[in-house]
This record gives sequence, structure tokens and C-alpha cells, in this order.
Amino acid sequence: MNASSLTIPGPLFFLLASLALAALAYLVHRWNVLSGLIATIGSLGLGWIALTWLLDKSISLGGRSVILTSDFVFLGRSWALTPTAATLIAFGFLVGGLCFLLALPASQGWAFHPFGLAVLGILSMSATAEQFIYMVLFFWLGAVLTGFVLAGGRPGATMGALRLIVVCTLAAMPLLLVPTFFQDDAPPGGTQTGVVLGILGLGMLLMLPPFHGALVGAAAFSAPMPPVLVLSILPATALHIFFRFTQTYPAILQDGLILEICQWLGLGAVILGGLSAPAQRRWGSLIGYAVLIDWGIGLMALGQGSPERMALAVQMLLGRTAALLLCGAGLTPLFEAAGKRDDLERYAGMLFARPLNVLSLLLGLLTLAGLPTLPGVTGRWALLGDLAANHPVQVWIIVGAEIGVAVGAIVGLLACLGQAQPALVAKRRDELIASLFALFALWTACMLLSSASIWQPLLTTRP
Amino acid sequence: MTIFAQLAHLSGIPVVIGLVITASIIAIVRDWRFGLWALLVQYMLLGVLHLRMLPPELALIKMLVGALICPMIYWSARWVESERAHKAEIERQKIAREQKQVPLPPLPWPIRPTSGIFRLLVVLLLGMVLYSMSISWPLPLIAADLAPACVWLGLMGLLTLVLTASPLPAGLGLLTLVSGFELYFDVTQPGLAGTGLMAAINLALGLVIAHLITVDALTGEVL
Repeated sequence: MNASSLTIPGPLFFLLASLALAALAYLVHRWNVLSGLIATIGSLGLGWIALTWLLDKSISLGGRSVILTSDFVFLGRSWALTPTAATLIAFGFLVGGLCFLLALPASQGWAFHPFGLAVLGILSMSATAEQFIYMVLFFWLGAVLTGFVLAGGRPGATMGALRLIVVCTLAAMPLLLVPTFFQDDAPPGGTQTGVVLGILGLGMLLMLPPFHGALVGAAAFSAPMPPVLVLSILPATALHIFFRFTQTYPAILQDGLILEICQWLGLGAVILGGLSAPAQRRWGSLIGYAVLIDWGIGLMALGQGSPERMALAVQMLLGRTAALLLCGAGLTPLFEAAGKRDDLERYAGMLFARPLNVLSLLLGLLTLAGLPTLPGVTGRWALLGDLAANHPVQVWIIVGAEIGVAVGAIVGLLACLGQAQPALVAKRRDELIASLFALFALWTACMLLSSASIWQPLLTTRP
Repeated sequence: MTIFAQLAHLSGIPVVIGLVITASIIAIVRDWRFGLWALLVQYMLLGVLHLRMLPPELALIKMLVGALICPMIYWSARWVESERAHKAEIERQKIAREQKQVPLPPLPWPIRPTSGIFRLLVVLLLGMVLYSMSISWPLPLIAADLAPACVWLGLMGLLTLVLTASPLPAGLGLLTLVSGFELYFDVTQPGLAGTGLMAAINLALGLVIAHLITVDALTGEVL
């Protein structure tokens, strides 16, 4: 190690850097664009550092070599920057950076940038924690702080944030007790109790019905971009915890009950989403139910139990993130133009005033619906092939649910075709900026999907 | 630390009875002031119980966290109440001018969807559930006189969460639920790092709840 090099514990670096950026973003939160730029550049930079560490493990800043050590020990507890953790951190910060960037055209609430960054930093500690308890504790802390991200943007709409906090709290509590019941000195019947607590906690963590309300509520009761961030990074961390949990306590997979639950309740989520999506009259709710269907299909893939199908669940997560980014990029300028409301009737004439934004939103929704030729279908194809051989009814249910989302999207499109309100006269400059953002989102979606090899380490944690 | 040493040797029964009362008040009583006072007393009583499982310094941290959370929620609730009362008074004066008669002043907080009698009956029912559970299915690893406190706080927290979607009562319920869990968690995983993180989570919960109470009452444009 030469004199010009600087050695920092990797896990601590990502936490401290994101908290410092969060403090900076908060200081200038009254200037939305400045705060957004700090959050965007900072978050993308940290994502790039995580990727660089993954590729060659040495970073140069200002001519000085920075070495991120993989281990960090505090009070006897250890955090390690493994390839899996670095991949998850890179994913979180890059998606966060894109969310901050795409949110620039309109304010998403004062808390979006500072607390978004803080949540990313805290979840990076969850990703790197070696002890399972600390992984869950940091996830819980991050999930609680998402309350600020979700509820900071729309006065009166606190339901989504409250639901998410309650469900994550309910999920964390049984998971935190599990290690005690798997210890050697556990009380009689401890393993059984541990398995029951684990299944209960994982079920809630994966937001299986009837806890799906948190997933839908997060999208329905918030400004457009915060749910994109929250519904991308929290499920990714939840899947990471699921894989680590099943690795640490393989007893939970022995009778396959948790996988069966994932499969059947995933199907339940698909049915619920498919029935509810066409009836929605708000963009936020429609996106929420579309996410629920996609999430349900991902859980069905997870429930198949084979490593290949679990990898599909991760692939669907990437596709969903791309779709959500498209939805957020399209809806943000439309939401601003519609007077910060997402009721469909307020979007009359938007198709002619802001065609690219409407197109971006519809493409995002149809990607979530898994329309062939769009990225959302890539993860599902193999699963549908499997199900067609063994459970053809389930294939029809999935297709029916996808049609439900498509119907909801068409209803939204018809609303956008209506007579424009006088107040909704498009400004050409805004239109151009918003269109560039939409194109950027499309490019991002393509990049995310085409570079799946980057995310390969995430799959290595599967049991 | 002498007083803490003496408190640590106290019998758990009176403290547990106190916790049963405070959690019941949070679940039943509509006025947020009573709920908040009950939450504060609850944190102090829980601190006394924590003394039996944790070093005095860590138990004191838990008491301090509780003592910090309650003012956060108080200021939010107080601000919201004064805003609502102000708006209600303006509305009342407007109606009085138009209709030549003075209507009754509206309540500053929305009434909960269930009546006090209903909530009291549910609490009594859950009391019977607690009694039968403590006999037939005792919690492992925790002292027999402390177990009912964990279960009762958890039940009351869940009941409050089920009965309301309003951030203030739901927040008090959530904090009660977490307090019950924490009592059990400290038996299984005592340690400075765990206690510190739980304190951070509690403080974050207090801050978020205070924020949600305020945001829920706001109207108008995006902040």
C-alpha cells in the first residue's frame, strides 16, 4: 500500500457517503433542482464505485487511490463487502440515481432526495451485514425511513407510507427472533418455532396476500417517483434477505412449505391484481396493481424452488424496475400538468399535449403487464412454459391478469384522448425536456436488461 | 446507579399491571393526550422491566428514547389540533353569518370508526385471550411474570392498528407493539449494538409518525 492510497472499510464508506450526501441535499432542499442534482450525481457516483469495486477492486479519486476494504467490524459485529452485497448496493444506488434524475422535472416532496439517499445508505448496511439479525435490523430501519420518502410528497396521503411501515415492522419482528430458536441451547421444539416464525416473517417480508396492501398503497398514495425508488430497492433487499435466510437456516426449506406458500399466495396476488387493475380510475392505483401482478408472478417463480426459476424471480425484478422507471418518467410531468393529481379524468387531452410522456407511461404499464416484445415478458416466458405443462389453468390466470392491466392502461389512454382542459396548455420547452427524460428512461431500460451479466453475483446467493 | 439497582429487584407484577393499564388506555381512549401520557408512562415502566435484563445504562437509553419520542408526537398533534380548531372556527363563523344561527363547534379530531364501548369490550375479550394463552402457551425464554406484558403490549398494538388508519392513534399502536416486541427481543439478544439499533429504529418510528401526523392534516399543493 503506497502513501497516496487511502484505505476505507467498504460497508462504512457507502453508509457515510450517502448520509453526507443526504445532509447536503437536505441543506438545499428548498431548491429542488439543486437538491436533485446532488442526489443524482451522488447516487450514480456511489453506484459506479460499487460496480468498479466489483470489477477491479481499486478506485481512483482526484489522483489518489482509494482502497475499499471488504470487512468492517463494530462492537463484535461484522459487515463484509462481498460481490453479492456490492451488486445489490450498485443496483440500489444506480436505480436511486435514475429515480432522482427522472424526478427533476417536478418536486416529489422535500424528503425525497435526502431521505431517499439515507435509505439507500442504510440498506447498503443491510446488504453487507454478516449476522442475519443486523441484516434485518438495518432493513427495518431503512423501511421505516421510507415513510418520509413516500409521504413527503402529497399532503393528506399517508396511507401508503403507514401500511409499508407496519408491514415491514410486522415482518422484521418474527425474523429477528428466528436465530434464537435455531441455537444449540434453544428450548424444546425450538426448531419448529423458528420455522414457523421464519415462514411468517418471510411471508410478510415478501408482501404475500393479505399483506399486499403495502405494495399497492405505496404506489397509490404518493407522488409518482418515490414509489419507483421504494418498490425497486425494498423488494430487492427483501429477496436478498430471503436468499440469505434460506442459506443460513436450510431447515426452513426442508418440507417446502414456504415455497408452496410463495407459489399459491403469489397466484392469489395475480388474481387480486388482475381483478382490481381494470377497475382503477387513478394512475397510482393502476401502477400499484400492475406491480402486484408482476410481483405475484415473481413469487410463483420463486415458489418453483429450482435455482433457475429463482434466478427468473431476480430477472423479473430487473424488468419491473425498468417498467417502473418508464412509468415514473412518464407520469411525473403529467402529474405536474394535471395539478398534482392522478385521477384519470384530469388527464383529458394529455395525449395531444404530451404524447411522449403518455407513451412512456403506457409502455411502462404494458411492460408490467408482460406484453410480448416488451422487456417484462422475458422473465415470464420460461415460467409460463413450465406452468403450461403442469398447471395450464395458472397460465390462463396469469394471461387474464395481464389483460386486466392492459385494459386498465387502455382506459387510461382513452381518458387521455378526451377534450383538453383550458389550463392544460402544453409548454413546448417543458415538452422537450420531458421527452428527453422519457427517451433516457427507455435507454436505461434497455441498458438494465442487456447487461444482465453485471447482476449475476446477485443470483449466486440462491440456495 | 443505586436507585437502578433497587428498581431491578422490584417484582415484575405491579409494573406489568401498570403496562396492562397504559396499553389499554392507548387502545380505548379517544383523546390523544391521554394516549400520549399513557405511552410516556409505558416507556418508563418498560425501562424498569428492562433493568432486569440489561445493564442500567442500556435500560436508561430505552427510557430516554421513549421520553424523546413522546414530545415529537406531542408537538405534531398539538400543531395539527390548533390548525384544525382554527379552520373549524372560521367555518363556524361563516355558517353563522349565512344562516343567522351558531352551530355547535366541530370536533378538532375525527371520531374513530368504532365506539369506546366496542373497544372496551374487545380489550376485555383480549384480556381473556391473554389469560388463556399465558396458561396454555407460555412464552419461552422469558420470566413468567414478564411474558404477559410482552403479549399484552403486542395485542393492544395490533388492535389499535386494526381499528384505525389515522397516523396518530395508529402510530401510538405501532409504538406499543414495538415496545412489547423489544421486551422479548432483549431477553433473547441482549447487547449494546442491538440496543443501539433498536433505539435508532424507535426514534425513526417516532419521527416518521410525527411527520405523518402533520402531513395527514395538510391540504393544498405538494410540499
